This record gives sequence, structure tokens and C-alpha cells, in this order.
Amino acid sequence: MVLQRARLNQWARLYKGVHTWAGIVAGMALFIAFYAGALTVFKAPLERWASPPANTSAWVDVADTPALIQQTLVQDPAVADEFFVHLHPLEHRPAAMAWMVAAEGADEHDQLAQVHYQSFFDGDGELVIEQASPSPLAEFLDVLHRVVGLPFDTEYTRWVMGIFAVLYALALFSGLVVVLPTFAKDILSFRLGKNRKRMWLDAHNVVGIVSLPFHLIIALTAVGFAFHDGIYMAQDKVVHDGTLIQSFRSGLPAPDPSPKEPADLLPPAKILAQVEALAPEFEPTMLQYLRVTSPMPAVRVWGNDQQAMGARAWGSFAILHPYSGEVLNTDYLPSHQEASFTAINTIFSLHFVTFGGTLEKWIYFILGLAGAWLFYTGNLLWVESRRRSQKPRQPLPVQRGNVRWLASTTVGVCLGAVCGMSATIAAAKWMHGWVDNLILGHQLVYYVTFFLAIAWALTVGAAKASVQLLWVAAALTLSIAASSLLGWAGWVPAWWSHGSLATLGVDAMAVMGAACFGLMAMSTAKRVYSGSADSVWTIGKPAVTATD
Amino acid sequence: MANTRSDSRQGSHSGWLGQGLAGLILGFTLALGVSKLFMLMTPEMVQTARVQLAMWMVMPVWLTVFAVSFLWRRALHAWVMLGILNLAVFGLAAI
Repeated sequence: MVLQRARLNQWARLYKGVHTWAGIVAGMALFIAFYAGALTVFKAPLERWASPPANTSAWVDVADTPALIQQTLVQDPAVADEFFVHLHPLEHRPAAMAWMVAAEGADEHDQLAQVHYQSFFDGDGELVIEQASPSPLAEFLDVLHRVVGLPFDTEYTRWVMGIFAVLYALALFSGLVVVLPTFAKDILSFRLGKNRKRMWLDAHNVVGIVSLPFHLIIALTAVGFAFHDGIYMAQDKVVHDGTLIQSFRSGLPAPDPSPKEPADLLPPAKILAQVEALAPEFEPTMLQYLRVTSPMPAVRVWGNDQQAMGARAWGSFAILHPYSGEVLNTDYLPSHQEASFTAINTIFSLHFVTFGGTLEKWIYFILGLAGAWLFYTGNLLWVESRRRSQKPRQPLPVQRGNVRWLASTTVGVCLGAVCGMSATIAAAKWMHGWVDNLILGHQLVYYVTFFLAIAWALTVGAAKASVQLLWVAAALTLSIAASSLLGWAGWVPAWWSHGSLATLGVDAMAVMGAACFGLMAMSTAKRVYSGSADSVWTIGKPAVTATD
Repeated sequence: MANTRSDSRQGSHSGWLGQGLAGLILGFTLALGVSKLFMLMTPEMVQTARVQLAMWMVMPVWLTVFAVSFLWRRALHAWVMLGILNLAVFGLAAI
């Protein structure tokens, strides 16, 4: 027993070094990924909030979509490769039929590089095909989340993200080993009190332990999302002997080379009736047509089953034959899938929180913010462990250069990301009507704010910058709701406010977020101006003059 | 003498970078080997699900080996032991 305790302590010491190293290298990138990820839980409401109101009078009902599909495909046969038929109009979605064309040379996962199109009938019943411009805001935030704050989701940035995700997994494991020997004692005696560092450490440990299951899931899936292409390629060589492509194609019917006429497509209403008969509890949201004029045509009916784990971020789906209506595949339909597919869907669902309802999304939102907080406090503890305390009747010590640098950088990067994201969300309204390239606009607003914050923090130091940047974060976050209010009141004609609960929720969250940042700014200010002087977090006496 | 004893009991680690590198690289190949065993053990599973589960099981195996590899006191031990484990798993899969 005594030996075991000694061994455990020895491991704890060893892994403390690993934990510190991994945490310091990856902490700030992970802060950005988690803060953006928490926002991305509400990607759909953010997208609706950020899009100007669309003219939904041209909405085509399901019953009339056969003519819309057929005429669109006559005018532009290339659309047959992939298009969507939406079943429900929303404030930002004016047309039932939509498709995307990838920009030249774009990565397949890079949603921002897609040009969106839609088709509908005008007042005279004539077909109109036009370029759609859905707000890229939510997708941009998702990109920040997916590639730890980098601007583009490409093969290379995913590798960078993967490296951070591996370090994150390592930090989790090593952190667990560090707290294990003294875990029971430490958890049961959460020490609020004089020793501030001890209190932060206890809080860091409690939050880490309580959210450990969430972090394990996120770490394992994030590494998978980053490296799946590479892993599949390696497995194709050493595990599957080059048969992987065939494996993915198995389960689909044999190609049928007979010529296909879009006019013969089964009406979407009939496709939906087939799915309804198959799975009455399934609520379809859209149809995704694939390769309808090729030898392997298919239509995926996407939707949600409230009682089950969604297969992917868009929900679950069944694959049908778009001409015969025959059900081709139900592997991704919760009520009709085998256990092996339920297992796969669970992996995705636990990352994207496509299970349960609004409550589960809020839990993930809070866990995501708590994760960001964990990385911030990790850096803070590194700084505080290296603090030089003032001895009685001794001059104020000079804090180490790398300690001051990490404190400033942590404040600049973390609060810079928070400020940048709030600014770029609000900018969805500010830029409307006069900015052509909205993606570039959102990127500029975010990165200019982000880098200005870092530069400012490095210039004025962690103490001053933390208070100031928290106030800036509060102001920018409040401006999200203020922009909606000005749009609703009609004071700025180009701005708008939707009435739906989802979009009002975005405004309400912005108000609450701003209040939180304001409170944090006030309590931080208290410490900065009246805390003990031998700290990088106070400006009681400038450290440089302390040598006299 | 007493010093040497206490040093060895304390586990004088020769750094941990080499051990970590062994875990990172050989942990990955070991995970590929484990996924190969999984493929051999599940011939009746639907093919499209099987290959996906084989991909996903790489993560827990790889990252666990990586995280645990720091426990080896010398990098060489980590490389040799993980090398033997790799040979064992791939050998088993070849039978």
C-alpha cells in the first residue's frame, strides 16, 4: 500500500512535467477551439440571426417541386450531380431548391469556398436561377473551431489541429495522473481562502474531473476528424490490402447504365411517403439528390428522430432510389440500422450533440465554455507557480520575463479571440449591403481585432490588458444585441431583427454574455489595482522600478 | 551507495521526449495492427460499418499507448517493448 502510494506520487511528478508542457504548447489554441466550438453548438440559430430576411413569397411547396427540379435541370444539367430540396421555409431561406458549386481547386471540406445557388418561380411562374448569399458567419466560426483559430479548413490546417488535439489528449491523461494521488483529499476540501493559487488549482482540478467524460469524447473524435483521411490511407495499405474503396461502395446497388430522364424522377412527396411508411417517427427536413442522371442515382432523405442519436451534423438519413422510390439503404436511419452503425453514429453524435434537444445543446455549450476556462486557468497556474514573492523587508522582486510574457500573451490571445468573435458576429449586420465579399469581411474583422488585442496586451502588460480587453469584450458582445435592436427599431434601415425564438435567443445570449464580461472586468479591476504588488496581475508598483 | 539506491527508487528518468516519440509512432502502428485484428475477428459485420469502426478504434489505442509510454524510464525500453508488441500483434494477424 505504501509502495503503491510512492509509485503513484512518482508518476504524478513525472506526468506533471508532461501536463505542463502539453498544456502550455496547446492551451491557447485549444481555448480558441473550445470557445468557438461552444458557439458552434448554436450554429443554426447563428446562421439564421446573421442572414438578412429573405423574400419567402417565392417558396415552392413540396407538391410543386417536380416542375421546379425538372426545369432547373433542363436549364443547367450540371446541377444533377448534387442538389437539395428543402421542406420548410425559414427567414433566411427563400427557395426550396438549392445547390452548391465548389470554387476551383477548393478542398472538399472547405464549405466557405462553395458558391451557393437557388431556383424558384417568379410571379409569372417563370423559372429563376440566382446566386444565393447565405451569411457565411456561422460557417466561419465553425472553421475557427475546426482548425483552432486558423482561417481556412484545409488538409494542412487539419494536420495542425490534429497535433493540438493529440497534445490535448495527452494533457487530459497526464492531468488525471497528476491529481490521482491526492484526488480524494483535494476534491473534498475545496479551499476557498487566502491562498489564491491553491484555490485556482482546486477549481481547475474540479472542473477538469467533472467534465472528463466530455473531454475524452471530444479529444478522441477531434483526433479522428483531423487524421481520418491519413488513417484510412494507411489502413488501406496495411489492413485492407487496397480494398477500402470497394468496402465503401458495398451496400449500394449495382450501377444501372440505362439513360435517366429527370422528368421521370419520382415526385418528392412520393419519396417522403415512402420514408413515412418506413419510419413514422422520423421528421424529414430536406432531400439531397445525388448523381440523378448517372448510373448510380440516389436521394438521401435527411431528418431527425427525437429519440435517437443523429448520424451526422445534419441529422440522420435514409437513401432511396429517386426514380423507383425503392429504399436502398437504412444504415444511417436510427430505427432501421444495425448495432454497428448505431456505434458509429454515437461517435459523431457525441461530438456534434445531435441527440436530445435544446437542454443537451445548452449542456454542451456550458461544457465547451468550461473547457476554454480550463485552458485559461492552466496558463494562469503556470504563471502563478513561477511568481516571485516579496519577502518581508525586501524590495519588490522583478517577475521573470517569460512569466510576464506568457501572462500577457494568454490574456491577449484568449480575450482577443473572444473580442474577435463577438465583433465578427455583430459585423454580420454592419457589413450588410456594402461589403461584397462577406467571408473576407468576417475574416478581417476577426483577425484585426484578435491581433490588435494581442499587440495591446504585450504593450501594456497582462494586468491592465485583462481589465481593458474584458470591457472591450463586453462592449462588442453587447453590440450584437444592439445591432438587432437598431435594426428592429428601424434606425438603421439596412439592419434587421428576426422574430423567431432561435434568433432572439442569440440576442439574449449576447446580453447575458456582455453582462458576464462586465462582471469579470470589475472583479479583475479590483485585483489589478489593489492586489499584492509582487504579481504580474497588479499595477500597484511597476515591476521595473522595484530594484531600487 | 545509499544515494544510488534512492536514485533508482526515485526512477531517474532519462527525460521523456524519446519515450513519447516511441509511443507516438509505435502506438500508431500498434493501433493499425489492432484494427487489423478487429477486421479479422468481425467477418460477419456489414462491410461499410466495419471499416469505419476499424478507423475509429485507432484513436483510443494510439492515444492510450502514447500517454502511457512516458512511464518507461528509458527511451530505448519504450522502443523495444512497443516494437515487440507491434510484432506480436501483426504476427497474430498474419497467422
